[in-house]
Amino acid sequence: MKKYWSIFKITLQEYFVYRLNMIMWRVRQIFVFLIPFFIWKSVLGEGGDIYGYTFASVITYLFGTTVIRSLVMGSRSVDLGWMINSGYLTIPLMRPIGTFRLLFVRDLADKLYNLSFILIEIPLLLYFFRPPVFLQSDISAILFFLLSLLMAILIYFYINIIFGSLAFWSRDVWAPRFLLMVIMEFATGAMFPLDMLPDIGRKLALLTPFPYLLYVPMKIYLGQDSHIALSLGLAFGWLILLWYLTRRIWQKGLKLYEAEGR
Amino acid sequence: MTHTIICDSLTKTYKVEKKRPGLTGSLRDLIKPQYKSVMAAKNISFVIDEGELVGFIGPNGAGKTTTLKMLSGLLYPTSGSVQVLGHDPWLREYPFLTQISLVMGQKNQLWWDLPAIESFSLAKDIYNIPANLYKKNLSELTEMLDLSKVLNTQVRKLSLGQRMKAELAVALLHSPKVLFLDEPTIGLDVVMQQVVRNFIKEYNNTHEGAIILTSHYMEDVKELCKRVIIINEGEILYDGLLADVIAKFSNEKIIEVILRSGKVETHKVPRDEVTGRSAKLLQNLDIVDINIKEIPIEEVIRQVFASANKNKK
Amino acid sequence: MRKYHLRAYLRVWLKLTAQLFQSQIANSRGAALLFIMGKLLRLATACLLVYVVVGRAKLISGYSLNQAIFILLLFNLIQTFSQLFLRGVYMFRQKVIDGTFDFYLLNPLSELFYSLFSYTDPLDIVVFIPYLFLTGWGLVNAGYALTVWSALIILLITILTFIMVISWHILIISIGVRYLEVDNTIMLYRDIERMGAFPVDIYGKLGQFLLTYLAPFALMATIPAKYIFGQYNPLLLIVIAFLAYLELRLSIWFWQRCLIHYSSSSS
Repeated sequence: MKKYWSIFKITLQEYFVYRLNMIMWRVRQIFVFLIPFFIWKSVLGEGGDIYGYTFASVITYLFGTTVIRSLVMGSRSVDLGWMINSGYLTIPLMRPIGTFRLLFVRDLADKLYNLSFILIEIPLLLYFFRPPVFLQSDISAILFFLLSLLMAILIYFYINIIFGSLAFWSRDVWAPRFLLMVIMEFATGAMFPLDMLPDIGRKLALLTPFPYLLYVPMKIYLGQDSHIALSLGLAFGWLILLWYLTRRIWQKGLKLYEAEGR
Repeated sequence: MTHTIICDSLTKTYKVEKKRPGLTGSLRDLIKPQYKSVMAAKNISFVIDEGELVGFIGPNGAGKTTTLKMLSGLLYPTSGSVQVLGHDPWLREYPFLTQISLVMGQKNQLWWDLPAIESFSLAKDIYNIPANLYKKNLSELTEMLDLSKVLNTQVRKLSLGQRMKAELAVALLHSPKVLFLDEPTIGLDVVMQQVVRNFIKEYNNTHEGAIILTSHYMEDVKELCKRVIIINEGEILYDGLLADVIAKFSNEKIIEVILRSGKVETHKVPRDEVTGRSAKLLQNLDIVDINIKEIPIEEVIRQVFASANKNKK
Repeated sequence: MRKYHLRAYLRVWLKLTAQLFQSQIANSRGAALLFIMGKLLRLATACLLVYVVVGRAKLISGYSLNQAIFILLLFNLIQTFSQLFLRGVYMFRQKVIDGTFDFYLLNPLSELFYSLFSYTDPLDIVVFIPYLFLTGWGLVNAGYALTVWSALIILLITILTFIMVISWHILIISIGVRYLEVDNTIMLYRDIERMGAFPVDIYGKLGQFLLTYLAPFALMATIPAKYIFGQYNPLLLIVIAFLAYLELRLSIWFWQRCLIHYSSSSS
């Protein structure tokens, strides 16, 4: 256990080495919020609603997903593709540590780091954008939310491992990841709430694993998901499927690993 | 213009951040970083003339590369002045840059995924080399370096030695007047080191221009350079003929005696006592032969660095 | 950069681009297709956002849905064009760390040229063509026609935008030379740049001012679109031309200052 604690600490330490790098990254988090805020302000700022969303509820949604995002999508396992290509994977493979555990511990460190910074940034966002904050008081809703959040973290972890493992087969891992990022930006509900889509679009999106990363946990937290059991069930189904796929792909890929180094 | 390179009390200091250990250390560095300044070069002065092949020697981190980089215009000197071919290198003027070349043994400028010949043809455009001159230089260099077989191979597939030869060729295509070689033989096997050395020697004999070489392989310097500049901790310890290094820094010689039994004994003896001591030794009947030798240059230089460092402390 | 070197720059750029293409073919064949798909998909999702928002609300800061879509498409076109030539910035940090930047400096051609203009991806030229058609469609769809005069004005605005964009990129790599941080800065730049994809009127007076005169992102879409919609006086471009010149000079001055602190990675 102790070795994973060291990995956890070292991962955090890495962030502090390049100070400016870190500051820029945090400033970005605030700027990402700007565009949707102003778009919705210009449309809904004077009152009224579309798709049942008022200005306040859209902003609450966007604000909430920003916080959830830092927890779910904060990740170091995106490095896996690079580790395979550069031959760096050899190091964890040769050491008495589980590679998946190593990656997951680094993910957790990243999430802690993100979370602690977002807690500093929240007051800033609150000050500038004054989003109405919704505090859920229903214990069962909070528990369901936490459950969906845990599954979201694991789903994203397995997606990353699968995409990183592509490096076993191809040197180019950036193109698939770019495509994934474009799809996720939209299909997780980060851009706008998915229930703004026509019914058929929303249902199609819910069949993919992506909405279970942001949209579904957010809706559960807000108490706006009328089919919580179904949502959690689908998330769990995806989790199992992705876990199984990850294992299969990883075992096949390792046989191809060349430990290439320059 | 009298000298090819004029260096006058050149100094370079870096500001380096001090890192504290551990997670709390990192956090403290984040909030309040601490710096210390490191002097990589102190008051370096020398002149180099056309046709010279000068060796810079010194241990790792002595400031050889820093000096070389100031001479080539990569680094801005904290104080002092440099003139190379009548130019201030830092301004990186077009006429200056077309007349110099820097080869670094640990970095490559060849296009990694493509055959070396592609990088050569790129250099032709970059340096605006006239077609006939390019052809002449290319065929000359490929012949001297025996490159014709590997020109069309992807650079990543070349061995380190072949790659180094290609690096040398691409750096010389535009016939530079000043050539800076930073550890050109590093990592090469003994045979390949010799090939590179032979090439540098031959090139220096057949082409005009000055060559400055840094290396920590004494063999390189011994074979190539008449004149050496010894640097340690950013300061010049010695600038002069290699042959005089021994006389200057070592007041001892080695007396080697061969005994009847075939055993060899060596004695380190102060210079002025050599005759007396050897006469004395010869009285011993067991001795078949006696040789008087200089201490090997490697050892002398090692002693120089050791004593310089001791004086510091 | 002297006049008589211009041809050398052009030839070197062409050769660099061709060589990049060669090495792409050598390394990754399928990736190109995925990248193009990703780019088109990103454009489609952005259109979807505009559609979702403006489809119900009818108007966004006084622009109709079709006008807003045209602005988005025009932004995409001009942004792609400007980025086409400036891909080197993504590799810059790596080049400083592995020492290739030393060779940029030692080359007789300008180090800025290598740092920014190398790594032009020929594939970007491929996506540029469908973008051009899409933007043309967007213009007609919004109910306007392209005249020779307005095409010239758009071209002029694009050039001014490009100069400002170059200045910002020089600023970013200057910071890179000094602090070895490029990747997040350029992403931050891209985040702000994306603001230009929507009519800048939505960002309020101050936002609009900053996005027009300090950063060129309003110039990438809203201003040329406004000109076509008959809401912009082209004489104001003189001010912008002056600013573009000033920004370029300032950024080059800043670059020179930062180079003084360059401490070439040690071998």
